[in-house]
Amino acid sequence: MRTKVSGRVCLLGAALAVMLAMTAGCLYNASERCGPGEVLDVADNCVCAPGNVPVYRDITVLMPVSPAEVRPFSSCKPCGDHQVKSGDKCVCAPGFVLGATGCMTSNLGATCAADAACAAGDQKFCSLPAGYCTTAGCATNADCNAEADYACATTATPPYCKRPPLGQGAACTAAQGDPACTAEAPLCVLGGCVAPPGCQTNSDCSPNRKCCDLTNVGQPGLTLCLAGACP
Amino acid sequence: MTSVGRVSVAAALALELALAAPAALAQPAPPSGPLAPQAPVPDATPSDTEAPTPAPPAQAPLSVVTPAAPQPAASPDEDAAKLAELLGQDSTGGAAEPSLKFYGFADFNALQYVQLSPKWENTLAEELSLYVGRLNLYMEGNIAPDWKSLIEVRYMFLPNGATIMGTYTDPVANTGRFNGIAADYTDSDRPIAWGSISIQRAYLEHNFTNFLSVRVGRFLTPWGIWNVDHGSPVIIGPSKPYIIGDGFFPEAQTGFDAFGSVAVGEGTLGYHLTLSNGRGPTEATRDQDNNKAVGGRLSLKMYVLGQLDVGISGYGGTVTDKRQRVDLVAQGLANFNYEHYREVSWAADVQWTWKALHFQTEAAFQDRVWDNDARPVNGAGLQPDVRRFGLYGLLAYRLPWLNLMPYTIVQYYDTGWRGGFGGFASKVTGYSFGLNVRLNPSVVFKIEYSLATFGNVVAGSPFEDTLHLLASQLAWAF
Repeated sequence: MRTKVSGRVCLLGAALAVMLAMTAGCLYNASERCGPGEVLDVADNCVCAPGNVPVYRDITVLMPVSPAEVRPFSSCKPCGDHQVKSGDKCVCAPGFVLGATGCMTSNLGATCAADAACAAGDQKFCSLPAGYCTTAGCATNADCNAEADYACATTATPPYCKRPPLGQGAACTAAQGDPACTAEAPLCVLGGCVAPPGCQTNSDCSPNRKCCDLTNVGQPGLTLCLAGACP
Repeated sequence: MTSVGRVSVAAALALELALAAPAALAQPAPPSGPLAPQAPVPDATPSDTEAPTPAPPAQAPLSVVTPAAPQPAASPDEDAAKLAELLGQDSTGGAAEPSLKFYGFADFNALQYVQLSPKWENTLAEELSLYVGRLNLYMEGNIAPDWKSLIEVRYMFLPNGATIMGTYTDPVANTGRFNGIAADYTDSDRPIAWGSISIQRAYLEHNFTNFLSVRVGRFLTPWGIWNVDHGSPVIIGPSKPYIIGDGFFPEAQTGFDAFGSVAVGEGTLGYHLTLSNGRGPTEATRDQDNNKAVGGRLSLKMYVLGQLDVGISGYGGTVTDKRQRVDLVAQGLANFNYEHYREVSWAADVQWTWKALHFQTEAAFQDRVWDNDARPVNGAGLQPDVRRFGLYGLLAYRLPWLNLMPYTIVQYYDTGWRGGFGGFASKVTGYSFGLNVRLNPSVVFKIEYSLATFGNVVAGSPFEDTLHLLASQLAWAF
């Protein structure tokens, strides 16, 4: 099977070398191992950098195999001016509400002891005894700040926009007693703080959440206000 | 993936590493070894190196010769000639007449981790395990002059008993293992464990000229030494080096492989050029990105203070996992690339034999770069781009008594990210010491002690502790 070296063979070898060289290219860039807005975590996975939220890919998942399924994202984007990261979303920072041009200065949620303390801001009503500035006179949830997850407390006198439980949605790891969770949202479920169990209907939850019955996942009789689809 | 899950994955990887660490030392039949033909095959060709690896037994292999002819008892000389022929696999010589040969190899193994640390005890099985590992059958047909067919299949006990990750959340309902048990209708529906087969190669080969042969079908990727020369009896240790089986190059491809060789002085220059579907979830039957992968290999055999073989290999392609999703707007299904990356791999190998001394080394690296909108989910995030590198070196010496061959292997592997070891470590260094005993030309016994230490380890993980493994294997050709 051997023969003497010929010009054709040399050409063949050269072609091989060229072909291999063409495949080499500079594919890998050690300084850009992840997508825009992403950094490596301790396990060397690409996660969103602090202050960035994921831009999810357009993949419809009708029935997730697991409620904890991680949704694929293509990149991460930084939160805008006066925004902070809440879960996987950017929301207006305390003192700001979403307006026509983004997050605008507001005293929504500001601490107060009486209406007088709210009079200088856009939210004139002081909700007591919780003690925060909000809007009174709402008729439906649509009259309240949806992004801040405020709900219209129609049974109150007067009706007012009620804030969600403090600390709800904050990232957490410990099932109970996580420092990120508060008395109003003491439990850590699926990586986020949630309100105490016992909701009966969706109206018992803040507008962006649903009352979920966890019987199907091995917790009979347990109901919680959860974001997204119920497991 | 939870930490428990990552530990399980890591444990599986570590197990594989430990399994591989032992041997992985290709053992080309040394000239002085009992398997060597009476007369050395002088003009090894690329085809030689990619021929089926098991050395057929000295006895005539089970063969079907067409037309059927009585098989006289083979004399020792005839046996040696047949052995040399099969080892040489001179595919370009042209068969004198059509023939079909069956042969293969198998191995029986004993494996045990020793001195497992408390951190490892819950993730690795420390019991002594006995198992039949590889059971490969070759079917080689010399169809006509210059036409040859080779089919290799591996018979497996898998998937029965294979670990299924992530089932620990409900150990009552899930065994954590794949249960390949069926009711045997031929035996009163009693349970029977079923296995499977893996088609390793299936190709047709034609020799056009002295320096050009072409294979079409499924072939082992011609890179390095051990990916092609993969038979248990010719591997010095109980298993191949870890990097050889870790996908720097596709183990096998479906497409075309053109190869040949020319004489260069006293040596031989060989080459391979491949074009295939590349890598991917359906690569054996379907290319999901219509972007063919290309690769090649150059090798040079020289006779400098013994025999010296050097080679370089390269490969490049794209990998696509195309899936379907529901398009709610169009009220139908739509295809999309769930995963897509480009890859480039390079490797170099050197093999030197001088009298009873054998040295062998292989090194490889791979770049894998994902499209940002097609990175797979891994743990709580996405998989990053990776450059990984690995190498091993083997030194062995065949003693003049009892066909004993003590050997040692050093391995190093940088996976490029901690996900390479379940999110807990990214590097590993392995050391192996073993003894290879060729009991007869077709039967080899190996025993090996290995240890592996990990690098870039997450504090508190089991990978902080060194793994120790004792492995032995009885491999035979038939």
